Order: sequence, then C-alpha cells, then structure tokens
Amino acid sequence: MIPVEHILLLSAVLFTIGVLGVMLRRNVIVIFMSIELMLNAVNLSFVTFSRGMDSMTGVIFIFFIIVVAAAEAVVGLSIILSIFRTRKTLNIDEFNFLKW
Amino acid sequence: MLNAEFVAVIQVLVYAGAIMVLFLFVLMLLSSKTSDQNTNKWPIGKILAGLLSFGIFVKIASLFSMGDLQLGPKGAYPLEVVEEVGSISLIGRLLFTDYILSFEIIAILLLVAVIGAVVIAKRRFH
Repeated sequence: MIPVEHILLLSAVLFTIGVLGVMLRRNVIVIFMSIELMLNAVNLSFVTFSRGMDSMTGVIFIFFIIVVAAAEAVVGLSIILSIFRTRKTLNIDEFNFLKW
Repeated sequence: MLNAEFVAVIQVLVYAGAIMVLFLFVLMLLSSKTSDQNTNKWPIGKILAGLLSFGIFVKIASLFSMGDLQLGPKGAYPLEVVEEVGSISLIGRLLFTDYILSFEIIAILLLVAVIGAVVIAKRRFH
C-alpha cells in the first residue's frame, strides 16, 4: 500500500515537469505534450482524493478531463498542422499571426 | 490500491492508443528540419521559469504533505461498496443517472472537436 502523500507528491512532480516544459521549451509539439502531462498529473490527484474521500465524483471528473484532453489534442494538433503549412517551422516564437 | 481500474484502462487506451498515434501522425506530416532550439534570446527567462516552477512545486507539495489535509465529509462509496459492486459498474451507473447531462454535453463537445479539427486542418491559406 503506497501512502497517499507519495502519490500526491508524484502528482506535484509531474505537474511541475509539465510547467517547466511549457515555459522552457520552444518546440510547439513538446509544449503540447507538457500540457497533456499537466492534465494527467491533475488526474492522478483526482483519483487519489476520490479514493481518500470514498467518493466516485473524482473518477467521473477524470472521465470528463480525458475527453476534454482528447478534444484539445485533436484541435491543437490540427492548428499546429495548419500553421506549419504556412510558416514551415515548429518554433513557437515564430507563431505571431495575431501580432501586427 | 486506489480501486480505479476503469481509469487505468481508459488512460492506457486513450493515451497510448489514440493521442500517441495522433502525435505520431502529426510528427510524420510535419517533417520538421533541425529546429533552432538553442537560439535563446532571453537567458534570464530560463532562470525565472525554473524559479517559478520550483515555487509552484513547493506550494503544491506543502499543500499535499502537511499531514493536516482537510478532506471534508466522506462520500457514499467506501472501499467495501466499490469492491462489492465493482468500480466500472458504479461509474456507468453514475454516468447515466446523476451525470447524464454532463455526459451528453461532453459528447457534443467531442463531436464539435472532431468537426473543427477537420475544418481547421483542411483549410488553405492563400
């Protein structure tokens, strides 16, 4: 039996790795993966708290979070694909369509 | 351990089966050349980012590991109930009774995401 604190600490570590990835990396695909990592860190703490509180709501919430993450991945990757067609790069500093 | 078999299976199915394949497809379509990853215009930003994320980690970890974690009242599904009924059965029952509206809305969201992805990926800029 792993203590609850360790699982929550793992969740915090995963979330921090995700934050670091978003802030340090400039490749848009890696940033995208870091966002997914953060979502999954939150999922991990959701399932831990759900068990700790004898509730099923956290698991239901994870179901919705995974669906939203999948939708976000689909739309985001198609946006990346569409931007890459014009800019020919994956560096996020080059994605400045909204700036004029 | 956490009695969340459904979450484990869904996680592997969705992430290894769907999202990773999607990432691989996009990586295959992109065929990126060597990216100029090392041209950092603002090196102090990395230090700031490291400090900020360390602060976030310390904050979350201190929230989680203080020992005085206030969890509130217990829910209606203790371990015995979950093991007797089965977590997948419980989740299915909840999804189609208490959370039916959210379930339908999330289905519409998924449909909109699929249509939107096709439209965005198809469009050509001229």
